[in-house]
Amino acid sequence: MKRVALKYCGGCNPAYERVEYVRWIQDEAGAGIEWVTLDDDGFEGVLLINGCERACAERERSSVSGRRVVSITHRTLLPREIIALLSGRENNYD
Amino acid sequence: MIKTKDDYIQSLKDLGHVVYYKGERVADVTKHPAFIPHINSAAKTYEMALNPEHEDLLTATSHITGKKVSRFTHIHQSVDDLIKKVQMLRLIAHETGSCFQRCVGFDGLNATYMTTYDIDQKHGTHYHQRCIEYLQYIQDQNLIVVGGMTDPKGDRSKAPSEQSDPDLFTRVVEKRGDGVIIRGAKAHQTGAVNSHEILAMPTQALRKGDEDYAITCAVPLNANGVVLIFGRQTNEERKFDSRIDAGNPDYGMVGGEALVVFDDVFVPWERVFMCGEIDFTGLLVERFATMHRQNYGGCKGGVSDVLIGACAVASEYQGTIKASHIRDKLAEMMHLSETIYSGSIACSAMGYKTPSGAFYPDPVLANCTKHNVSRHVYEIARLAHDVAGGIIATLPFESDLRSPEIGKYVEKYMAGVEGVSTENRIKILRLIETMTGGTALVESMHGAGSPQAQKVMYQRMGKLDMKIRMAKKLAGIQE
Repeated sequence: MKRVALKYCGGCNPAYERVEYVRWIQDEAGAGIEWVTLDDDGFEGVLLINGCERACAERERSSVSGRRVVSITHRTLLPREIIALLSGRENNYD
Repeated sequence: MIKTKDDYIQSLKDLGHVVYYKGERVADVTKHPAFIPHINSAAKTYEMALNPEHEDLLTATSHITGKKVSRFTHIHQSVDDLIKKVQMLRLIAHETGSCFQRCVGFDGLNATYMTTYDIDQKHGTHYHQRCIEYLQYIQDQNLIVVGGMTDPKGDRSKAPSEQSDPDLFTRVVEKRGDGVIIRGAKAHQTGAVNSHEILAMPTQALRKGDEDYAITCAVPLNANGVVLIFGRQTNEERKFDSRIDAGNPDYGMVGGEALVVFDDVFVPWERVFMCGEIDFTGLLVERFATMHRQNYGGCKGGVSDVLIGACAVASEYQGTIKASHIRDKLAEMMHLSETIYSGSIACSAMGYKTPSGAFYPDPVLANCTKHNVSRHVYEIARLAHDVAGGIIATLPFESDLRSPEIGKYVEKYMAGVEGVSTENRIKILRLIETMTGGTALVESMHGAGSPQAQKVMYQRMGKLDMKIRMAKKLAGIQE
């Protein structure tokens, strides 16, 4: 099982339903990913969920160097594509 | 420490403050239908702080303790903090469609923090350390503080000490070894009945002779001598009647304001942050007003987002959504809403550091923003009335819809497009009515000060002399 830290932006005026999208990703990942927060230890990947192009959650990128970081600003990728990115099999192009 | 909505409600039950509604003492504000929507709205500030998807805006790191605290108790440490404040207000307004009340005390704490530092620098007093200790208490307990600025003011043409009744501005009536006794009142106090503390500040710049009125102090709302009298809102009784007629039944209309009376209230010195320093009253008022005016494009922008959505839904339900003039009006509402929001973001982005270290928004831009709110929110409401139709003013009662005798007529004749229930159509129209009438609009006009107060500030700080120089230079005028 892979440990992934989930971090949202604050969500002031998001262009899509961020929580709904994350639930979809989590459902797809099932038991394959253990979801933790940035305050936890021992995670290999980070999923940054931004509500818009300003991408405020990107501020966290510098604090998680050395980990695989996937940053989302649109609801364009399918959950399996995001999981593949978190697994390091593909590049993040979102 | 208050963390959850349940904690918050219990804290109000424990407070035991003196609240009057319609001439009667209220035993438990948390069970009174007049206050429940406002409590729900304020509770959102606690609930959302616990959501991973919102905590980035709803929380901050205390510069005093390094702990995570509610942003509503935070002192702005950067331009980013100023921007996040506005983003947070827009976000919460999306959830409540109404005022959530905590920004006033937030602004009062920041203004007092900055100004106590400046007072100490000039007068060698020790207010700032007291302010820090009080702030830490508020942060640690996560309390709601009312920003108590507006005095009743009586005859507006006279100074506080010239009034026929000297209590029309809050004042110190006695100084003692252990503290002061204050008397007076603060009017239009948003969220007061469901807050924990009030931070009383002078209502205007004061002159020599008015030293007793130069008082800034923090008072628990359950202190002896504090009496809260709730203000009647437009359609007040609808909170009691039913859900649909209330329009926004869970979160109500604006913040729920009260007259807070100080009937000889004792305040210990450790809670006094200004006492007689008339030379800093103007600065404190200006800072509080600027930070409060900074907010309005955030919260009213967020409330307007909900209203625009409601108008779009009503248009769908009534079969007008494809009409070009409706789409144009919805676009115009968006333009106005984003305009006020951009003002709040702009004054935050142009913010700067004060001598205390706390950050402060650009005052000219903040005051222009609030002045725009006093215009644009009315125009947004006018467009909402236009789009929704006259039916928002003539809809039958919810009880008519539920009536075994006449419900069938309401169901039949209040219907919109096929496939949409009459009840849903009535719900969305009632929401529009609630968000655009009476108290809801007046709050946009006079909340954070009346338009003229904003104009006075940007007129004074708008650098007219520089504009004149620019014009003369281009015209080739040499004098």
